[in-house]
Amino acid sequence: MVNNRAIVLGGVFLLFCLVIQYNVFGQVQSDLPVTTVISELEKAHEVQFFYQNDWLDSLSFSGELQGDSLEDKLTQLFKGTSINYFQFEGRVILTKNVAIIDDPEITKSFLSKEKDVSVIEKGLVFSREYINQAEASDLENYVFEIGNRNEMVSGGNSTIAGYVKNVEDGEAIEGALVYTQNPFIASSTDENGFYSLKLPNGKHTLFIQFVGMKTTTRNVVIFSSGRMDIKMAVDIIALQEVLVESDRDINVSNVQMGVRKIDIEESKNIPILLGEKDLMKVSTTEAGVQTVGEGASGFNVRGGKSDQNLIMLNKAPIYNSSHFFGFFSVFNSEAMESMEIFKSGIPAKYGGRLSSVFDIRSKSGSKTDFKGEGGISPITGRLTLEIPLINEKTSLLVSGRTTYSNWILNKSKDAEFNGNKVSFYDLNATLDHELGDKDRLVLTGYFSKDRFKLASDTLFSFSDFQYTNSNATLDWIHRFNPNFDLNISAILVKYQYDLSFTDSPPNSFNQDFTLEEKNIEVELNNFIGDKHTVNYGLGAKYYVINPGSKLPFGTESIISPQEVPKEYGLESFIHISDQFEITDRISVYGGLRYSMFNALGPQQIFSYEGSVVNGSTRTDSTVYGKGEIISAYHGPEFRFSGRFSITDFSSLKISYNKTRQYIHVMSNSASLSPTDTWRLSSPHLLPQIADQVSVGFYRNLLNNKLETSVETYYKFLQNLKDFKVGSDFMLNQFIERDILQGPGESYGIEFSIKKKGKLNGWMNYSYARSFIKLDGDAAEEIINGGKYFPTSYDKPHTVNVVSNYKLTRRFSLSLNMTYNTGRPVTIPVAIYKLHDFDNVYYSDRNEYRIPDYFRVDFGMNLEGNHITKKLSHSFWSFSVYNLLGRDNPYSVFFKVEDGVAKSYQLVVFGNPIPTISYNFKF
Amino acid sequence: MRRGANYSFLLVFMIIFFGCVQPFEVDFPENDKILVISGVLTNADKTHYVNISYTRSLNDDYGMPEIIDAEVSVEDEFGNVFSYLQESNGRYTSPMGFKAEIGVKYQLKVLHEGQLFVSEQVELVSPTEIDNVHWDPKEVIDSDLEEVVFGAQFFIDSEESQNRYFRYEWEGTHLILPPFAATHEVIDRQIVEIDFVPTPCYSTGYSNNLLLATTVGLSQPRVLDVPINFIPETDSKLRHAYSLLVRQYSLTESAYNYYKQLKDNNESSGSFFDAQQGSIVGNITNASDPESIVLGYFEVSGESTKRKKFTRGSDFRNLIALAPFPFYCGEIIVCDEETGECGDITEGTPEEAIENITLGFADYIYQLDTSDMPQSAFVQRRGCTDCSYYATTDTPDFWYE
Repeated sequence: MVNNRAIVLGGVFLLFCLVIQYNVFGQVQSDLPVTTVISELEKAHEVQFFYQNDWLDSLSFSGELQGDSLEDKLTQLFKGTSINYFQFEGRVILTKNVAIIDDPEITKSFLSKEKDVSVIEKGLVFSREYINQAEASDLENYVFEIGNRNEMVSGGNSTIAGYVKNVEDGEAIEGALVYTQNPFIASSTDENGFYSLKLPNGKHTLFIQFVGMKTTTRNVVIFSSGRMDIKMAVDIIALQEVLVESDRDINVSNVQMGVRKIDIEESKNIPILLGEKDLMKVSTTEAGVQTVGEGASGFNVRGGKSDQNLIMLNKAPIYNSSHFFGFFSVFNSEAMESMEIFKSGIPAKYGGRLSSVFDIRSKSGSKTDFKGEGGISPITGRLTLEIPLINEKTSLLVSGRTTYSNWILNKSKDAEFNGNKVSFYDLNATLDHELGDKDRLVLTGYFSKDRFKLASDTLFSFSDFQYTNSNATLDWIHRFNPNFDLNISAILVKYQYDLSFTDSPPNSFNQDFTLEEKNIEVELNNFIGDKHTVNYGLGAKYYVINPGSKLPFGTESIISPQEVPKEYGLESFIHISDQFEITDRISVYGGLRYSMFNALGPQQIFSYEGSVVNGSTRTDSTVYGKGEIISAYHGPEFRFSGRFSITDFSSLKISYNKTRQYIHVMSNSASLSPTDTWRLSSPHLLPQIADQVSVGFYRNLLNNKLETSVETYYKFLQNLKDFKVGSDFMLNQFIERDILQGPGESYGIEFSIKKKGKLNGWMNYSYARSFIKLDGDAAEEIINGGKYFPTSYDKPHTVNVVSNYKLTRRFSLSLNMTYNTGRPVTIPVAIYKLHDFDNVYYSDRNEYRIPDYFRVDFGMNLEGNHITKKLSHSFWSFSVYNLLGRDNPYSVFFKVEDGVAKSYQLVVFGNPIPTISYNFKF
Repeated sequence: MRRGANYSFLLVFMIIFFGCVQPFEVDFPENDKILVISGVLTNADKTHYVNISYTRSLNDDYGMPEIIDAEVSVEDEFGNVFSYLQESNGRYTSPMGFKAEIGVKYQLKVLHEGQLFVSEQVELVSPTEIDNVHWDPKEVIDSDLEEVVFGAQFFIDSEESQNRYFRYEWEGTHLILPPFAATHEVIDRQIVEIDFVPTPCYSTGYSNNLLLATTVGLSQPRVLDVPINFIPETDSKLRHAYSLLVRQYSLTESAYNYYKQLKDNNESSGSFFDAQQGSIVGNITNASDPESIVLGYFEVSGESTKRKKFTRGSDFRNLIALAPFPFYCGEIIVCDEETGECGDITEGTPEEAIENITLGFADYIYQLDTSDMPQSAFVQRRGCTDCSYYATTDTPDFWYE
């Protein structure tokens, strides 16, 4: 099934960045379109062919058709393609990949085949009925023997395991579904492409499916446990239909709930601002994930604060996930493989944040072929290279992205723009090395930097600001046997920012913040029998935070050095979980994570009189030495999910999880900002704890083309952080005097529908509420009378529609819509004079709301033609952000001018923003 | 010391590139009126005030002020009571000769509608002198955050002291010289000499926002380059001379924190870096009903002042462009309805001047020559010849100091 002449298209109809791969090696030059060959066959054999043009128009055939019979010729013609043929009374009916069953004829032929199979199965043990094998090259019709016939136990079970790889470049395929239909037993491949299934001995047909890959089958006869490697070809025909298959019933059958896997391909469906496809933006179209608005970074997941999301790139937490104030995410999609979001049912191996986990994995380079990919848009340029270092053993992927906005700014004739500097770039590298059959080493590195400078000689501001994320992860994966593997990871994380002010020499300064993490994690996966998947491990994280230091800049500066003492902490955990398939219908996941946090010295901790914490109740302080334990917090985190399949197309799921968080962002705004400081739990900053219960119902309709779900949840949170009026977190050594901690609760219900096919996309509605109670012992600690009130990210109604329509294979349109209730704000309700100037008196905290948010985006993709011999493939995309030009307020604010309060709204993108971008791949 | 405003840069950046700030209609909710009491007592030999008012709704521009009928007094830590006198509705003045003494604690007491409001006891902080008032040409961001404005930024430097927290007020007086000084006016079609001084004039503006500074975070026990007042170069205040008086109040830490919160609350910019907003309660409580809210603050502070005059000749020179005189003082073109002829009327005969002034085309004669033939009279509008109707012509005592 060598697939040399295939033009390989992935992401054909998707936005922004085309992924075209093809292989010119061994190309036979005398290609003929298959349709031409068919016309010749029609004349020669006096038959009539029936087929759909678009199945064939990218297929070509080279060489000569051998043999005399039509049957032989057809076999040769369609070998290695997804086209099946069916002869019937002088007609040849062509059908596409079995996967796309939308024609009764196909169904019939499929069913009749099944009957034959069952006959063979019955007689299996006695003789080799399949002795008249088709050629071994016809993998789909060949019958493979697994294990030793002599070891066969009648009625027993055996394990079949192996790797699923891409036939073209030998890369492992992660997430491919390997299953049998009767009985339905399924497994999906891990990141190394490994799968393992326990099946009854006897004959089976294995189905192997993956997005963008041609679904393939293998006939096997299992005598005893054995290995079966499978190579998949990239799908030649339209991708959409394959998408249907890939996660066909994941919606219904997965034991986890509140989980969403986003593929890079999907991100192309969404018209995105300024020509960058973006994984994080896709995530915000999910039910239960909300953003604050244009230009804000961070997310609110199911009524959680923006610091309660664990955003990880290759297991390394990313503390600032956005460039350019949130207009771009720091993840260059070209270098990314996938992203999984957990809103509930968080597996025990993840921890440290309350609300969600975003697990993002970067891509490994091809181990056989040199490849490149890139694109330009009005703001950014990017390039990704995949370099095989040692054939089929080692590969390197490097990817970079940068903005050339500085260059544009300098070209600007407008003096106000000229001289301003704003720039960012990011770099990704992945080194993937196979040590042998059982070991693999993967080293990934990530670096991103943002820099701003305003040329104007402005007062009251800092003139230069920059932040960087740098991460490195080393993974060693060892497979003891097909059912047992080990993964050891060493992770380094650093987030840093600094800002400076140099305008007034006496007041010039530099200020910085640094957060460092060093992690070691060990994780083991054990498949026990075919019913249990046990995952366990342990790990530790060592934190060092420099909450801020400010140093004078220049000799004239009178700024005194100011330094908030560094904070040290150790977070350690052990976890164990088991996924247990009790019956075909019932599957449960149970996990326990035990986490512990130690705040470590050196540190000086102040104590306060009574329960009121402020400057005047301070009584004493204790000094802790280096490495001394200041406070220890620990506790179990239970994770449970269960699935009950009501029918093959519907299921009911429940989950409960408890999460604990020991690091908190000091920010009283709804979003995260680059200047936020993170602080560790201490005797005064208590760990945040959340308990979430959720229940969901899932149903697939129209042969899995339509996936629907309803999920509802309730969360109870402890020690949620909020702040006193007017608190300032920069360089604040006594953060406990500004912070307020109280219980919170969140609840909601999420409805979502997902459709596949020519018109595809998703639609969801969520009702979500989120409240907090701050009822301290002093007036400054009591907010809104000590009653529950909405948090600043409480947005009850959210509607998202993401739709994509593929007009032809090269041209597609997409239209998206987002609506949400305006977020709560505190607004002035009265005005008063004090010392002859006007002051405003505010409402209760978060008593009012900004106007609702509504936006429509439009996108259009046109890709180059499919001629295989072109050296590179190009792809254009055009998008309009905020098509209706609606003025969505980012925020509202108030000013008192001449004794009258005036209200203003800050609109970040009040006009439609069109963008055109060009992408290429070679 | 300017931490609170650090983020404005980011916001400006965002707006320049992407965003815009728009007025936006909102119905402010009605809120119950809340009593506001504010007072400042310093060591200066002057009248000290206490003001009592109510909050007013944001929807009405200027509602009818409530009638305030209160008994106001200040009590020192030794039990001496100084009763204040009502000057106007809600405004109370200190008794003659009363001023605060360094190191003594004072408490404000207000009896209003049967309820007693008391402040905390506040100790007078000794004043810190202002070392220097100076200026620099600067670009600043306009308060509407839409453009960068060039002009003169005035600063102060304090002297060294133990005090760490300061509040400022300023008074800025500028000289007004109309291009033409009126000499004659027309009364009953007769040219008569004016009986008032039309120029030069002096106009004074006062600070209307809260200015704060602290030495916290500084290596020296003094503040330098504290921005006080900014005047754009397009403003005519800098045409000739500008005298700036700065009052520096040395505050207690809690007073500073209160003002700082108030300031952050008032200066909301809508960015995501805004501080948490909410109601701020000062150091005054309702002793009769401790649960109820009363707003305001009783400040006892050490006061020092410094005045400095800046002139075009020695200071602004060509560093600050000469702003145009605020009134147009060029040709006055008038057309004859019958003939349709048009012409400049600023120069003409006395008869024409009488005619034109009577018709209202001009207001004053600024140059009259009746000695030679032909006689001539130059006329101009009021703004160009007389500033006494909008500013004072009394030369302030400090002007030639």
